[in-house]
Amino acid sequence: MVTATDNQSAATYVRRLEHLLDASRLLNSTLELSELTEIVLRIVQDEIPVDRCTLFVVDRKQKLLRSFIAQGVEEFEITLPMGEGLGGYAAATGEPLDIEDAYADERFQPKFDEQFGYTTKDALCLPVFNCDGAIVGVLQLLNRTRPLNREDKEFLSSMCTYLGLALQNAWVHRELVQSRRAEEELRLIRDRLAQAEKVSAMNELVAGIIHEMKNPLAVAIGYCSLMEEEGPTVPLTERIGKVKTAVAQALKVAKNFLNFARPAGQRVPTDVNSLVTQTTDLLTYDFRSQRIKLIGELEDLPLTWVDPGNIQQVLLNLLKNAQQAAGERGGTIWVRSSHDSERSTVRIEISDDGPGIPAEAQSRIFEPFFTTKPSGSGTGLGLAVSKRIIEAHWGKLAFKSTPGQGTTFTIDLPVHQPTL
Amino acid sequence: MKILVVDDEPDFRAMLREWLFRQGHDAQDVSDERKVLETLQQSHYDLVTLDLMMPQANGLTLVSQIRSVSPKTRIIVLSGAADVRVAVEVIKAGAQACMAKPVEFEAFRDELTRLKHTLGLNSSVPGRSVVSDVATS
Repeated sequence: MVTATDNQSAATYVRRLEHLLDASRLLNSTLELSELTEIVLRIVQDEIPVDRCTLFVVDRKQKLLRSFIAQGVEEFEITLPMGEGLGGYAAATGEPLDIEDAYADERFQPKFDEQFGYTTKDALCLPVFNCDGAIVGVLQLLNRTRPLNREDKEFLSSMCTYLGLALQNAWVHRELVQSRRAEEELRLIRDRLAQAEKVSAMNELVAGIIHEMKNPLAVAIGYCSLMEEEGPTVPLTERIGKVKTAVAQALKVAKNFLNFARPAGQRVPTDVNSLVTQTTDLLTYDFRSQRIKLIGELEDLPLTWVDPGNIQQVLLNLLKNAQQAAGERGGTIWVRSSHDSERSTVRIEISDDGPGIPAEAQSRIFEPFFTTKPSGSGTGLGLAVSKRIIEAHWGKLAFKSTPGQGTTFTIDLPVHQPTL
Repeated sequence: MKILVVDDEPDFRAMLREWLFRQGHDAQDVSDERKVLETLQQSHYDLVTLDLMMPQANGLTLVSQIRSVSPKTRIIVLSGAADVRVAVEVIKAGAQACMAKPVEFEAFRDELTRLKHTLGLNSSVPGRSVVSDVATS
């Protein structure tokens, strides 16, 4: 005969099975530790008659237990050293603890009670294992409202099995996210340094650029002034042509500078030779005023997959260095480009006939903030940023320098970027 | 006036020569600062317009050298790099005026007229120093 009690316990059993199924589904639905903790606490609270429930996660690196949300103490992270307190003991030994009077147990630490104004009476600490048998957490239940029966314990045991897997996944995910975040932050800092270097390079260019614009503008204004004075008696076509040429020249200088000033963007198929020309154009005034001779030997190059703004920043940096080296003797700068079709790479070489890099400085020139220039000129970031930009393009930046004979910097870039 | 235009920009030289010619002057030009002294030793010029590439010592030296080779020749510096500091330096070195590029042609014409009068009245008295349209930064 089936009694009402039997019916009731069968109903409870079915509900619990359903809850366990829900639990396994829910626990697999998130990789966020705090969400996972919330789900566990909600399910346990629904099923087990206890006043407070805490899920500790084992942080093996720091030998700590962390609870991301303790029930009733929202968004407060409790940490507990392994081996300390009831939870710490269960985590260190892998043994479950069922304690009727916490204050009578020497392993109990009353400091959290004091902190949260709580009084722990009894406690149940269940270690949670992952599939390899390592402890990944401890489920701690305080102050039951009625004695726990066999079904309660079976339910908790099944819960802990699901929980073990879910916690393991969530913890791995958390560590991955943290290391990704650290990488992201590092990338951000590097990008900002590169940007700072570029702004500094732009500031140094401005005076020369403005001068380069003033000359054609002076020509245009001059012819306009002539036309004004002569009136319509003289054929204007030739004069207007000269004004147009001059204004177009000024516009080209401005456009070239704006191109350089564009923020780093995306990699696109690029004619690297035209980047070289645009960059040497930016330095026309500086080279001329220092009587530097520029010799370009540019071979035809295939379109190369680069970020034009970035590569131009590198070219400008190397050319400025060459200018500084060659300038001491009013010397010569060579820019050569070539294509290695077998290796599918393009090469840009920038050479000067300056004094060369001192032997003792050669091993340090790519270090950030290392500079041989007088203080106040240059950021000391130019070569460090350049090397990083080239390496981010899967390329190589190298140099050869002989004291007294000059320096050659070589950029090698793959024509196609490897797909990741 | 007989004027020597010194500028390394051929377009600017051509334009300025033509403009000076329209103002009734006899203008010649050289592209290289180094040829200036040679040209001045061969023939007398009332005025040299000089493009100073940069506020460099050699530019200032050139101004002094022109003054010593041809003391009666006046000098106007036309420069894209002109600011007050440069202007003061070039005038100290012996130039008559320093004007910023792009040149304000009305001011330039006034300056030439003033110079012409000065030269016509008394060539041994240096003209008034003029700083025109230079950036104050």
